[in-house]
Amino acid sequence: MNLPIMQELLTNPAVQAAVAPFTVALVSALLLRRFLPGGIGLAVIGGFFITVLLTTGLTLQPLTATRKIIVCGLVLPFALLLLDFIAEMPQSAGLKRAFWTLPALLLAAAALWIIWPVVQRQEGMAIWMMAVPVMLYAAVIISGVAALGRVQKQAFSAQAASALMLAMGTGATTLIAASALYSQLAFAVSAATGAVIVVGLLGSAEKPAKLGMLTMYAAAVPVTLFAAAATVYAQLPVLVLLCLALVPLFAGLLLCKPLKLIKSQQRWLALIIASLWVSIPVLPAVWLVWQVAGPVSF
Amino acid sequence: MRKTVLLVSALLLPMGSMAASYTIDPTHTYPNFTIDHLGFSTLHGRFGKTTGKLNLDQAKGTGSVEIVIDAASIDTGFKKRDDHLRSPDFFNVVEFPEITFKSTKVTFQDKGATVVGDLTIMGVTKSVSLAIASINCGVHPMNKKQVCGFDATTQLKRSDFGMTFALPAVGDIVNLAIEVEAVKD
Repeated sequence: MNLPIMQELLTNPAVQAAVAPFTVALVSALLLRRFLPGGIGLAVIGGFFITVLLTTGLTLQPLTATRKIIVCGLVLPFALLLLDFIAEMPQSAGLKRAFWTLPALLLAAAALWIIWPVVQRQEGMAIWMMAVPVMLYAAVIISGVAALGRVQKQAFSAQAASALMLAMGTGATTLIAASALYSQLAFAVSAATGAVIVVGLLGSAEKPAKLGMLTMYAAAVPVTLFAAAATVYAQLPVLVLLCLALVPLFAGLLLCKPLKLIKSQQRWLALIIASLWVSIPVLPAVWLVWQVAGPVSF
Repeated sequence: MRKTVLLVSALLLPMGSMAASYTIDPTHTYPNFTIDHLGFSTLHGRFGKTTGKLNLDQAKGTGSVEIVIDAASIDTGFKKRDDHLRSPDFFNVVEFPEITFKSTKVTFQDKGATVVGDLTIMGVTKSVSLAIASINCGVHPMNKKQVCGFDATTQLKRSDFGMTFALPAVGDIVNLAIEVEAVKD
């Protein structure tokens, strides 16, 4: 094997952010589909992990905001899955509702932890102005993604489009907002999610494709936190969060009756149409950040 | 680094005096750097805001210096690039607003000196050695204050400080040259 060529390949941003995570996730998803279908979301985490290895490495000290996001991206999907499991256990309706709110609280707390070094240097209203949008965004996104993920029937296209567009939108906007690293890692999630979606589409037409909650969480957690952090650590306008927060909502609209025509299409076509529909709130997000920080120049 | 140089200069200046403290003149103290850009050319930049103090005890032959560089004051002459350099990809200035240097050892040779100290960038501290060819001290012709000045140089790897983005396309080796002037308190 030609080591210099391999080294050059592995340091190529396109390989790091797209080829490597897609390949790792695709192979993992194919294996998981056969041996552990419920854990196919592990492939997204695997794809994200390989990009982390190729870009920042696994060093955790000092525990910077970026490293906190990486830790959250690798760990929190499992914690959220556990909370879902607990919420599904037989219990009173009130307790069940309380458990449904825990994912939002967990993500909001994670977002606050990530921006905490900066928040603690602020005073008065500035603390709230900085922390509230970031925490709200994290809570809203994960609530939307969780609600979307719980839909069992004929929700594949909507779920896939939401996961893809959220990751791609985050990748595009953070790239323009002057953090190529955040962008690379968000695009890696997008590529890994894409691989899992491809595997999901490979199944027989009779057997409905499923993404699963782990896939939804694994795709949403890191990119949500990257976008939130980019408003503090890079130049991402807070309004962009408002646009991106609409992504799960737009995906959810696909499940409403008037839009159910999409289900009658072929699955690939349905996915493309769903993705185009869900990309609608991403476009103003890109436009907004372009006004503030574009064009990109390295 | 600039502060380090200041320390050295302060140490050398008052050969015949007692312990003294100096304050870095931020209008004449600038850390400059060069780095390879994609193998095509050498990029030059500098930090515009630096503060610091140094203390010298001539009788004991010892000194110390503490330097604080405002990381956000980085300037390469192009705002978009500077914004990128301030982002988490490079200096991550919102999370780590200061670059600091604290000397641990000062050794004088001829007209110059070597200053070893702890340089902290993005929360990572590494020992670096600054070479100073000549320390020049005297009375400032305008304000009549005692001033020391010198140029310090060193070389470091940005990857040692966790700044690994765009390696190896953008060079790992950073050459630092710090122009320093300090005024006796």
